[in-house]
Amino acid sequence: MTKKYALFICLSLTLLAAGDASGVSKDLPDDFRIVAVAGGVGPSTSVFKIEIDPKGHAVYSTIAPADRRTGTVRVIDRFDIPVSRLEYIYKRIKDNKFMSLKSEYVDKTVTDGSFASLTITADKKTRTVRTQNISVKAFDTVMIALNLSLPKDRRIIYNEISY
Amino acid sequence: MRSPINRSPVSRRIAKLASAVALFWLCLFARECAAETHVWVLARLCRIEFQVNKEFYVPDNTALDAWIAEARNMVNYYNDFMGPLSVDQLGQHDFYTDAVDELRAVKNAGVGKTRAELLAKIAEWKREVEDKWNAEPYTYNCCLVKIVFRGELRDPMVGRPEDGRQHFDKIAIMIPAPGNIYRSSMMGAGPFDANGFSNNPYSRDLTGNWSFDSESNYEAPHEVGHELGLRDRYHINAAGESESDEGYADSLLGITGDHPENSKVIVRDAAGNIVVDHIRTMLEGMDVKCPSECCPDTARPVRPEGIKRGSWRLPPARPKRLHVASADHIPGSVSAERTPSPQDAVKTPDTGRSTTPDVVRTSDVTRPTDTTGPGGDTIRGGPTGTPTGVDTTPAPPPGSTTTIPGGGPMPISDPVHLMDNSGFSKTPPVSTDYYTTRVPGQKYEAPPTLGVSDRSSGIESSGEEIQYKKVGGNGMAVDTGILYTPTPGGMNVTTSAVATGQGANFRKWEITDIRMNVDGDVINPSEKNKFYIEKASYLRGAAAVTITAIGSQYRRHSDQTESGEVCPVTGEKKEPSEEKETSAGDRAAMAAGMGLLASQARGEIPAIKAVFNLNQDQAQKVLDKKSELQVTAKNAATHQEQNVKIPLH
Repeated sequence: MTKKYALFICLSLTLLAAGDASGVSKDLPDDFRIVAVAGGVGPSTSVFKIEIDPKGHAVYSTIAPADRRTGTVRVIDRFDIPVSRLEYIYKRIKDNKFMSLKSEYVDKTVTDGSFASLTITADKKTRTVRTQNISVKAFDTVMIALNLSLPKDRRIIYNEISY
Repeated sequence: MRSPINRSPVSRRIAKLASAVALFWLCLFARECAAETHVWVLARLCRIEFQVNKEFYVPDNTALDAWIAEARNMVNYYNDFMGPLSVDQLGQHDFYTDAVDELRAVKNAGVGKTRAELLAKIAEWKREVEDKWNAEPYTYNCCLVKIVFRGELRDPMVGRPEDGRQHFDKIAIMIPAPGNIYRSSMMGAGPFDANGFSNNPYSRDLTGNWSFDSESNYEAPHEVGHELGLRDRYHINAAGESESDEGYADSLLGITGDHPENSKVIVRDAAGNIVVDHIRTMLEGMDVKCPSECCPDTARPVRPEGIKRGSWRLPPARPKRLHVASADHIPGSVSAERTPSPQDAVKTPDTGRSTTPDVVRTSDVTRPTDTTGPGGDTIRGGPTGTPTGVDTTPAPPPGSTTTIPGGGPMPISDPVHLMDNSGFSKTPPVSTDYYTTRVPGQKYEAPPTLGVSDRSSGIESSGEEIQYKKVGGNGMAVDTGILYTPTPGGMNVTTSAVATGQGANFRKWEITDIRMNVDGDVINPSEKNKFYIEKASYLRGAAAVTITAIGSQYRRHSDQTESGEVCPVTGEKKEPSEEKETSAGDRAAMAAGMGLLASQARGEIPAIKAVFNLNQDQAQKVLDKKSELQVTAKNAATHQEQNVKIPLH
């Protein structure tokens, strides 16, 4: 009896864990992908880039000032982000209607400064939005949510969200 | 329609009233939009000075609130889960809770910089700007051209001063938290003309955000380039990447990523020819002329090569925002202009693109090899030789004249004299306006307040003010940091001063005496101490060193507040006991870091620190600008002695 009871608990826990995992994958599109880039507008500044796939595999890379002309990217680090964090980011993407934003927001009265670009792929749709020296609340909120989910030294920061 | 002459008295009164109201608002607007970059033609000194004025403040960081709000949202996201959280979800909940705590801690830490640190940064920017822009002696016709930077630290909430002081641009000092990053920027520059120049900064305010963490020596000088009216010289290329404009990779406004620290205002090719000249773009954009008296060999105007009679007109009236220090030295017709014609189009060697200048000036066409750069900046001495389309008729011999319709007879001399014929040495002359030697009754003039001063609310509330002044003497100069501290009985004035000579005499000068003259009364210091400055520290920035010399002894503002008070600079609540010990250590470390020494070692520069105790009457006279520091400096090698007077306040 005791063995049967233990087996029942064990099976229940296994199902619960599996259910939890399947819940994560249910909330996240299979093709979900994030590419965020930010840096200075001027050619003497660095650019930072993060790419995350639906399994949470992240690649952090940089474009050094000397490589700005060609856009040559150097990979700095690879790490994993818990899928549950990606769920939250995806939720914020939907909350802020990211896929309906314009492709570019630029304040042309500002010289130099910084830019940010975010490309989201989900449900077979890809949207790239770029901002330069302008605060776009929906965009900035998604970028902050993304950055909060990254290690502190691997964030993608631009002026409008820099603190 | 009735003629204005036939208007009724009532109509005329209404018109007058309307004019007065319009004039009032115009004046009000003009005052609010006071020019923050000025061009001065110092006729007596044969010097053209671009003066850039910056007013710095530390803004509230609203981005941090957005981060905290988002981190809270994340915590709530897990809090609102129906049912128990998984291990992973619990971990995420804790992860974001920690993030909220950390962000709050950053917010509570406030600015995180002391006034001394902010002032030292402004002093560093000043040094970087003036080092870059005055990297090599620049003469325009026969005038020396200098770029001068002035900075004040102010409170963002305090309105513009109405006391007649010069107005300043407002630049936010952005202080990113560790791990964050901020890129400096300027707002409101442009629109730019074909030469990439805009005179907007000379007639209205530009604002900007400068990063405190800028460790490069070109970031502040680059931003000042916009304040001087120049546009960026880079673009986003077809690949979506940022790239310097063609021909501007070494330019301060193009700052390529390959070697940005080497970017220059005047760029030369391998043969030494100037290929980019930003200063000339500014001079021409503002239509600045060097007084004819400054060229002793070419006192008479020059007929430009290739320009034929028939289309001359007198130069226009003095342009807006161009100041001439001595009206009697305004040049009559050192250069003349004519309306450009299609023949004036100059082809660019690289692109083959041709541009027609807005105005053809003497200095444009007397150098046949001058061309226009890819983006419009003047490119001199290019390999193509004589520009296409410019008449190359040889100039008549010196001394001959031709008659210019509307402009009177115009003497002609050899155009070659329009090149650098100033006779200036490679070392820029030190102004003799601001010093006196031991000659009784010699006149001196108050110099412009160069450098950095502090008018932030923290100081105004305590009444303190810090200034940095550099006053030139004959072959030497005195750098002075001044701290004004109100006392119950009047005011204490703390000064730190160092004298340096030019060239081989750099370390030969030593201050032997310092006293204060308050409206005729000579006051000796109550305290006087020698200290020593490492040469490298001085060269890194005299302003930072002299201000730090004061700061290393005066108490940090937060030390002065009692328990429960809030520091007006940082916003942090003070914990008195530990803070005092810490900041004393900070001050000592700062002094050590700046190369300030209590005893002299070989090679150090001697300096002097003095404190003057003033009574109420004397303090008021200092505020009324009726006082000056009198510094006596002696050259140990030549035994020459000079008195340098430094006007106070």
